[in-house]
Amino acid sequence: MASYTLPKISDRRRWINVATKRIIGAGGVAVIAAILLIMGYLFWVILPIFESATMERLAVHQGLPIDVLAIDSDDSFETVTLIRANGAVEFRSAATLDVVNQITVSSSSWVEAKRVFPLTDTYVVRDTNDQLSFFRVTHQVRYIDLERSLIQRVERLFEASSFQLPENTEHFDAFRSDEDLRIVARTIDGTIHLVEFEEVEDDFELEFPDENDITGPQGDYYTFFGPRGRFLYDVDRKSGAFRLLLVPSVMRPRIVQTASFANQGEFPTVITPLLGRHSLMVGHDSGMVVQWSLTSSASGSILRPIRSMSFEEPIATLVSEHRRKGFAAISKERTAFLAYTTSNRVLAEIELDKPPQLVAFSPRADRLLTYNGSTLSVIGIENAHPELSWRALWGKVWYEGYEEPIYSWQSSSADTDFEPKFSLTPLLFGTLKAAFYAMIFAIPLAVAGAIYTANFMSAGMRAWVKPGIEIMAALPTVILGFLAGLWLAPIVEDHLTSVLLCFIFLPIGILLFATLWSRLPSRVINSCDGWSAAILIPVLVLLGWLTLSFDQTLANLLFDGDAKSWVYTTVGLEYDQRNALIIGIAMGLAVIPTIFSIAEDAIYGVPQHLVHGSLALGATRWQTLVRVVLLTASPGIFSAIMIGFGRAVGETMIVLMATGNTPIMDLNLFQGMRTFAANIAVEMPESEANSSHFRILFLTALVLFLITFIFNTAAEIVRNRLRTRYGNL
Amino acid sequence: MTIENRDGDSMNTTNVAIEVPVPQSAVEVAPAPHEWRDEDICIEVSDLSLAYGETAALTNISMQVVRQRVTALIGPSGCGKSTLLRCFNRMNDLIDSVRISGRIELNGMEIHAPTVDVAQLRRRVGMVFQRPNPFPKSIYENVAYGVRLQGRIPKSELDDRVEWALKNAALWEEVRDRLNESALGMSGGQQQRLVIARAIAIQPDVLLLDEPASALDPISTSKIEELIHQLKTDYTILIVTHNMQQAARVSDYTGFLYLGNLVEYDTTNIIFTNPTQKQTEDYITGRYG
Ligand SMILES: Nc1ncnc2c1ncn2[C@@H]1O[C@H](COP(=O)(O)OP(=O)(O)OP(=O)(O)O)[C@@H](O)[C@H]1O
Ligand SMILES: [Mg+2]
Repeated sequence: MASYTLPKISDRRRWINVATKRIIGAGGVAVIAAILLIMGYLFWVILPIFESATMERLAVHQGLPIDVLAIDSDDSFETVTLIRANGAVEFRSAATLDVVNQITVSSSSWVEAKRVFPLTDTYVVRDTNDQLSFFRVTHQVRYIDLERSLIQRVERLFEASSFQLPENTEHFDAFRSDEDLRIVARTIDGTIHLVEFEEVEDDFELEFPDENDITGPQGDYYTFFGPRGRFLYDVDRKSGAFRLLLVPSVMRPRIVQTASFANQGEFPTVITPLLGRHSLMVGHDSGMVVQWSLTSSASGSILRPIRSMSFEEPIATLVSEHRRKGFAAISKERTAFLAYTTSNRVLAEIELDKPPQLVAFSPRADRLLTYNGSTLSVIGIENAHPELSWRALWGKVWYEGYEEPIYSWQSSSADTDFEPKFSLTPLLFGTLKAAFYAMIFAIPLAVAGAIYTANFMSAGMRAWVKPGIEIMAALPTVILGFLAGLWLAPIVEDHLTSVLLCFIFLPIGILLFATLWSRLPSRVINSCDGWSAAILIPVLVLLGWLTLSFDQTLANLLFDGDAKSWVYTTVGLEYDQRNALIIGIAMGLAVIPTIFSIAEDAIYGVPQHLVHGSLALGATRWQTLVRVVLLTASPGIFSAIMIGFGRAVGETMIVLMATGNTPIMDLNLFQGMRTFAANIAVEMPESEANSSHFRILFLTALVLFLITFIFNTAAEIVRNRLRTRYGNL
Repeated sequence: MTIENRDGDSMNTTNVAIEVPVPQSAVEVAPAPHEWRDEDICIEVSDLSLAYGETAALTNISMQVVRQRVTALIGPSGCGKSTLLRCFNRMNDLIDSVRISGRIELNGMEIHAPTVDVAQLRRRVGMVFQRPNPFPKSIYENVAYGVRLQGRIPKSELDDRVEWALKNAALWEEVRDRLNESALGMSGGQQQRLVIARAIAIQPDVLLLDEPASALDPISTSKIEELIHQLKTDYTILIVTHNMQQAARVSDYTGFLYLGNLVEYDTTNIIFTNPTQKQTEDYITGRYG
């Protein structure tokens, strides 16, 4: 056989081949890498949410004074503050517990010291003569010769004036707001002494109190103010019986509830208010801690158990965090548990050496201080995101102040004692609701339009219509959102009747017109073949205009004069100006070009020989359309819809501007919603970096990513199935 | 290249001069045109001209197609065979630029009359296209498609019809176990037989076959030819073919088209043995490309 060598590939050619391969490969890898990087970053931000909390003994310091009445620390945990019975406030280095400063506030001795609710820096002390005096502790950062130092100050309030407690006062509490100072004192014989100083200022003496005595049951009672000083809890420590008083002013207290904290006959061992005092944590010997919260009822606010947690060891002490709704429970077996109410989680636990006399969280809840006559233990806490759990994110949660467990997203509020509500369910619901209404509006129009354009429209008209609609996709959505929110929404609200009727009248009008049209002589019909859609435009405009101009007449006829109130009274649906109807129209318009364009391509791309094959078998145009064209184009139509859906889910500007952004869960067409994308846009700028809120926003971004990912993957799978079955291209 | 077919006939796939074939099928000799009676005529074409825009594709064609006979149309590529075939079931209507003049009568009825339901016409005049065009559906659904269009029909009857059509298209043995698989997975030749099965499943009166065997191997080809021969008893068949032997074997009458003109139209025997026109003879003997 003659040997024959194939010509060698030229170097240049080979070089081009290799280079092209490399460049394309690099491009592909870069895309995947970029997506992975985004995913990786999202995960990296989100991951701390799922880290479990830890408690760890950092230091045990011996040799402290034995007369400490209260312990506290500064915000960054550099200084530990001890309030001592000798009338001094002692500041010690948090690291070494060496005294760095000691300020003698009073010459008399103190027997009790506590914080003035709801302030974090102000203390009230009771001295041996039952005088109450007030002071504020501040830690200021100073730079002296570029060296950072903390200056501690103790400032006596009200010109060092004091308030004389009644004789035999067993328990007292103080509340201060911007305007007034309230004090409650309870004596052994059951008298509750209520005092109010109005319009107090730090550097004026306390004078002219309003005072009022009311009688309560005798016993060992624990009496303290509730939220905004307007409530008073009066609890029998022994039996757990309590009375809830509403105190609009001290002169007019009113009992709103009398009940008991006893749990199945078991008396409580300890009661501690949670931050903001909207709830009380009630510990029991069985190890149960029950959260009782002020919830509104027909007769006003009452305390109600909303949650219970079991620690399986008898509870001796409860102490709550200063800035969150978390608390620590210390059992009689000397175990300290860290727990959180909203997420209903016991997060960590640690064994203590001795039962503590005093327990306090540092302001940031990153340390737990336990004091036991001369010994101070510092327990370090890593617990950045206790409020998050799978259940809290997706399930119903019984929040403070609510009558029942709910799904709610409410991430921030002006109040510092606010319980953040991080349920993603309303956002997911809102996202799907917006997409759902948009798709209901868009799919019929876009797909039917695509079918018509691809099959029946004349080539000349198609050459205008197709690019025209595709250009709509380039319209910035912020403009659509702006128009929808500020122009369309008020119009729809004012002309609700006709807008709703348009959805009925226009299709009927089209059908009627089509019937009339088909009766015309075939010469006329044929002369407009393929342009009949254009003839429809004036018909639609006229119909729409007619409907709109007879709005009031129609409203009188059908809806007793006002569709909006009819919807509310008869159907029972509330009406927001920016609602799902607006979103359906505006976002529908935004996704129509996408769906239309892809679907039209798919339908138009159905090979003519298939169409002819069907027609040659005696199929009508309509039968061919349904049985061959749409079937063959179905993978394309399906992916058009899915891509449109993906766009609707991720669309931000329109929903941001035209939904009202209320995270409610209601399918009501006439109410708004808040979507993931809008939520991120609204809240990200105001979110504190690395806070739970911040990380949850990233989580919602990931969820959004996953939704689109899942939908796209599902769409791709279905599309491939369809394509292997029906595809022909 | 010469291929031995089953019967030992030599069969040329190019247009090379051939010895005069004796139509195997012609047990009963087809009557010559002057012997045709009126009731024998199925399709009557008079003065048919067709233009695609400005380009004329058919000029002044007049011919009669005899009922229950096979009529072959031959001619060089681009001479208008497919175009003429498409006139019979008005498939040319789908091409925007087409302009037609002249008359075509099917069983005495003008097919271009405004009262004619084109879909019904096409049911009666079935067509197999030059290129196989199975639907992206299962084999079964492809064959059942046309039957289903005519209304609901019991499953068993439909099954029978599908089987009948597939058997007649010489496809049944190959696909009986994979009726529910996609038709797109079939070979080109199988697809061609499938579209034939699809066309005969609706049992039209007239069957238009545009090069039905162009993609087939000799065995399938002869099966198709047998099929044509069988179908002749019930249907009027028009077949376009580039294969002279095939035309000679299967048809009773042959028309030779050249540049849009019907140059000669007579019994197959005459056309192949004793054509009156020089052009016809040249074409048959392979003097055209
Ligand atoms: N859709 C069309 N639009 C414009 N011209 C066409 C169209 N179809 C066919 N023609 C032209 O009409 C003439 C006849 O075409 P036709 O398809 O009938 O030829 P044919 O005899 O079937 O050829 P072949 O043997 O190659 O199939 C050709 O010149 C072709 O270019
Ligand atoms: Mg052809």
